[in-house]
Amino acid sequence: MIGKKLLLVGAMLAPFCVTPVQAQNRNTDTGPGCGLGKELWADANNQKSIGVQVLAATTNGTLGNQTFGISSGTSGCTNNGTILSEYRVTVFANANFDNLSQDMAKGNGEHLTSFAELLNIPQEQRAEFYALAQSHYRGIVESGENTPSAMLASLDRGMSAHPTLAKIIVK
Amino acid sequence: MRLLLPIVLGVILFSVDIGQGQVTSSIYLDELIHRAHGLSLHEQRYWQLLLHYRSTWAGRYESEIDAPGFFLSATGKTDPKAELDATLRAFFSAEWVGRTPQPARCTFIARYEWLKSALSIDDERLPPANCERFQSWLQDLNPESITLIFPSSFINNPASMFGHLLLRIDQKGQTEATRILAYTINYAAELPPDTGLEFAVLGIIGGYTGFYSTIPYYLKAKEYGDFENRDIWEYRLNFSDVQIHRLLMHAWELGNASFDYFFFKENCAYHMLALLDLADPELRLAERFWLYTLPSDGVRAIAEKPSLVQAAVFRPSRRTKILRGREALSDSERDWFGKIIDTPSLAQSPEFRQLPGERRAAVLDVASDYLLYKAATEYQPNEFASRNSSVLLARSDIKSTVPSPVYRPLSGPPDQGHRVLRAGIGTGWRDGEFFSEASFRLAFHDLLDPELGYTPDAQIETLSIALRYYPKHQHTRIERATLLNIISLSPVDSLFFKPSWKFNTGLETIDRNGCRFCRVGGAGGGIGLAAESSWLRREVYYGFSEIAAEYSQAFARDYRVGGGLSAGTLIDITERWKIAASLSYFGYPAGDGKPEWRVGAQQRFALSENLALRFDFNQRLNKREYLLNLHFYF
Repeated sequence: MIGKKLLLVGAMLAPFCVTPVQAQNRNTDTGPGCGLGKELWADANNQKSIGVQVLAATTNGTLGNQTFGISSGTSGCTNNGTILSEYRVTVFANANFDNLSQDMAKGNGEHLTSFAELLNIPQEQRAEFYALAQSHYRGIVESGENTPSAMLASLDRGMSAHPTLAKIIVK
Repeated sequence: MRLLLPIVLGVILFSVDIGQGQVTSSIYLDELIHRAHGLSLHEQRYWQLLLHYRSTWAGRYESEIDAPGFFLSATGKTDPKAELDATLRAFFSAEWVGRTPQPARCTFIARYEWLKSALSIDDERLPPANCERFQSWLQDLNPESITLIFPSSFINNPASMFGHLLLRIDQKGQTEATRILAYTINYAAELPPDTGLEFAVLGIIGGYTGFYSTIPYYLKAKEYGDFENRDIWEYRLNFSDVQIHRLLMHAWELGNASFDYFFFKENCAYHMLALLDLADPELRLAERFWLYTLPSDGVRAIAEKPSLVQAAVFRPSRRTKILRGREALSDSERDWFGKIIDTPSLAQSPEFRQLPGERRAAVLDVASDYLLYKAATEYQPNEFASRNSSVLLARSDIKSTVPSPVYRPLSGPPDQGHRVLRAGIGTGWRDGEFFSEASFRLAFHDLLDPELGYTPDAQIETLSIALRYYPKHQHTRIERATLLNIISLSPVDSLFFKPSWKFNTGLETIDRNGCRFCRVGGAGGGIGLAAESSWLRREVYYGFSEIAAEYSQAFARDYRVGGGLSAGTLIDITERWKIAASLSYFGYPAGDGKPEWRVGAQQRFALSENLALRFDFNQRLNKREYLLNLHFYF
């Protein structure tokens, strides 16, 4: 039921709280909570497990509060409840895959703009990026693997081959 | 041997030095505590707000926070003075405290900053701590302004029927398109796995614990907008940098707090308002709510403060985007839309391609939104997901830039809705005699209350009572008392097919079997369908099949159980004037078997936002009643 989904959510987003063990030995709270989600992320092909499962939580229930709890290390995550910068792109792409796909096909939209923002694409190159994204949409769908990771990989290839966008690296 | 003496001396001097340091700091601590007592700092409003103290009936104080880790004194929950002393003491201690261990000056940074200013703490004598985690958190938030977020009410989930409130911490350099990247501050109850109906009870009595979290707005917007299909209203607030910093410092402290979650009073709305009070203590928002806090009341309270709200932005749910998007299509385009959602390959057909690029884009965008809606709300999403991919493939061929449509809200902004408490005075005529009536309703909105700012076609009434005086019989009585009366109408159309439902329980008065004023208590519910049209302005039609169980001494054998059918309509005549009519037939195979026809007609004329005139007519078993009422909302 709802709770199971919450558990999935908490576990799913948990890996993004993992940090390398810090030299500062006061804060070695990387507990067992982190890492469980890797198995669930691997299942990303099934829209249901990402889309509905992840986010169909009761409004007044927390969305994996252990993961996003302020200043908390409850689930063993040391990131204060915000997403570590190296994971921001992947979390966004995975959580917003349907909306992002729509925007890619359109060549504009708030999810595509936000995505460009996370990739640190300079304003003057945004138009080229949006055009690139739109032109890559067909390839991603027709390759048979219409998933967030495939999308990221495809964009990465497209950008590396692009004269002006090559300088920006997609993780 | 020669080395020993200097070493020993060195050790002695060193320890004396440390000792001196400790003595010096404890002298300063005592000085500060003394100064704090002199200023009665623990009685100051800001300290009360920081510790969430409320005065109790006995004239004492009790903090609403229930996590022991939030208090530095063993008696901190009930003793503001002891807590303040303990806080000062903790600032001098090397011990790290908090759910994520940090120096006390960092864990309780809002307290530290306030006390530093109130006591003019000297940085030389008590050096500030290096609050790395707080600074890095603040950097991630990158705050520029604060926006109040109101996801509108969602009638199909009891916990969400009254809406929700959360805050969004807007980032520097944020635009309308990138606002989804901002973090939110959200207060919610933590539900154990497989929570079901027990939420209804435990949520009300404080059986759950509530926490604050900072979930990115895109996750929340998706949850409310795409999965629950709730429109969101965003109110950008006017706070200064100092105020924002104060709010965030306290939010950081609250990471160590937990509260017993009380659905009615200490809920999301209450805690968001409490945070805003921290930013600007003069707002005094949270203290307005003593019995219950409704999110929409919270929004109203904020919108009423002069110049607190900079702007209100509407964020349509996916369902609203589909409805508005389809409205904007021409008849033939709507035809294409209908065909393409079933057979996406038609988007590649030469006939479709004859339409100009912009029009094709409009059709395909609505089609994609609709298919994503189905994928998100159906149990077999894969078919819809793959149709969506085909639609988007066709869309990706349209290279010209097409501007995004502007989506008009379906209902006015929540802060402009009528207030929640309703009182009425009226007069009427019941089967041969006059009466006067006074009524009161605690919450929330019925199908005839003025609609502006409320989710259309949804009724939630709770705890309402009507008193009548019949002069002919010199009789005063409780005519009606409603515990709960909920109706959810979901007009069906080719795209959206959801059943309508209703549930009610309460007391009424009937005239039966020679008993003129007999009380009947019962419960009933029904399931049915609704439809809408727009001949005049807007009309809704519904039909229900219902069951009911009732108890009354007026019945043979004191009870009856049965069911029936009902049908009705609600019509908007003008912006202020709405009428309703209904007809139902009930049969009672168990208990008192006499079947019943019921006819009713009501109308409401809105005199102003918080004043309405109602006229009702009801007939049951050939007994007629007319009622004229003036309703005040406050």
